[in-house]
Amino acid sequence: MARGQILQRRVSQLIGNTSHTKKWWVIPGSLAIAFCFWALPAGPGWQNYAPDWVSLILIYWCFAIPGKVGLGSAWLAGLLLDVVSFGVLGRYALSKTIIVFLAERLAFRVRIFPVWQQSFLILGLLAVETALLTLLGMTFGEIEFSYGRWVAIVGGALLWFPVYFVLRRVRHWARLP
Amino acid sequence: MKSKLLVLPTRLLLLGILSVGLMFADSRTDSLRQVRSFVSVISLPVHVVASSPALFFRWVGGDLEDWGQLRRKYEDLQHQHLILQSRLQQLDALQFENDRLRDIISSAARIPDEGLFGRIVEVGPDLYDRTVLVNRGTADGVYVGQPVLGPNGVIGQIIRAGLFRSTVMLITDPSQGIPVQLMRNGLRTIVYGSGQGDLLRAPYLGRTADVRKDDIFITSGLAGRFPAGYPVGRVIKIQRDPNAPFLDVLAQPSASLGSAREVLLIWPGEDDGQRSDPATTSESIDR
Repeated sequence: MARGQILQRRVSQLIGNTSHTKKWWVIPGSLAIAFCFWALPAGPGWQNYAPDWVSLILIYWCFAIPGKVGLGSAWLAGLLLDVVSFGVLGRYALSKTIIVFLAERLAFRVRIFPVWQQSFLILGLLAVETALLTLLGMTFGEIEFSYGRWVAIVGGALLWFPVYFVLRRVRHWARLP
Repeated sequence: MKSKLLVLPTRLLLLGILSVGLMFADSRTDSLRQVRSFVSVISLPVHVVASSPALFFRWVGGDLEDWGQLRRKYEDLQHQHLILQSRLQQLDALQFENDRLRDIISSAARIPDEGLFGRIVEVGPDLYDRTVLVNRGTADGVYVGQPVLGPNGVIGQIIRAGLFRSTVMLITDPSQGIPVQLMRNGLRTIVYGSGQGDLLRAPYLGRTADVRKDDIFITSGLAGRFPAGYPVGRVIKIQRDPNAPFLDVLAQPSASLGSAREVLLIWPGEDDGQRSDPATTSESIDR
């Protein structure tokens, strides 16, 4: 019995699963994966229809653990996205900061909603971001209005379901509140 | 809690101002060019990870190409090679003759352009339709404004250079103009991206200009950015409106912008601008 318990502890130490420390690194980790998803090539002409994974992940953590993702880290994530996308610096930084700000404001009200209602809210948040990005893009050059971006927010809202369930598993696994 | 909610807007305001300042500095001035060239190295691992599935599938697809197909492709390439080689022989002779003629009219000899191959990196959504990313950067000597060629013609120019990656603005972008001339009669004009349908537009050709369908625009080298003599586009439509002072000429880019995988970055030979300057040329002819 004792032997078995020791063995179990050994195994769990190796896997690092049952230790009671909170794995906060899953938040930046999930963001890093979102960056890679975001940068996936989508073939010429389809690029504009790609959903914004980074926003979805940021919004999830805002809703799940309110107050954990600060405006500063959102800004930093946006700036990184600007660097990765080779776009004008500061564009995504601004949009992600505003999205996180809005999501934090809504977080306490939204947590009790069922997922499908949350997805409508996501639609709204993504629409705000798209409007902002389009406006900034038109002001600072480079991009024009594209209908694809608006189709992409519907895709983003639908993606909320898998994102929500996967990240909830991750959150429980990482023993985050 | 209450205090936290109150703190948020001021921080939002600060970060917002910081972002707008960054955007302004980055798009309107050159002050951040050095910084971003180094910072862009961070994006390399993300690009590598994100483009690996596509590369993998292409590799598998390439591996599964059947024998006959490969054989045919090989033969095609060999034929093409032979044809190009024979034309190159002629080119050498022409070059020699050209140099001699230039010597006579005491115009500077043309220095051949140097090139470097680059591959187009496939990445996600924010590279809007009219820019592509190339796997060369300032580490290879790439500079902002550098001309980029495809297999059949001009593709665009570098607008942002990172250490290992740089962004190419395609010629179909409406904010880019290229000084060109017609291959048939040397008529000079400027060609812009049309803004829709991936075409080019030549808005400054007068009503009586001698343009025909299927004429070819080549770079004139006038602004000193694009070296002279590379094909830019083929005229596909000419609209003559008797009331308008200019023709509406639409052209199709010579290079296949959508499907190009490999590009050539060009370091123009030094005296291109002088060479094509009409004033000096005519003067020396008069003499």
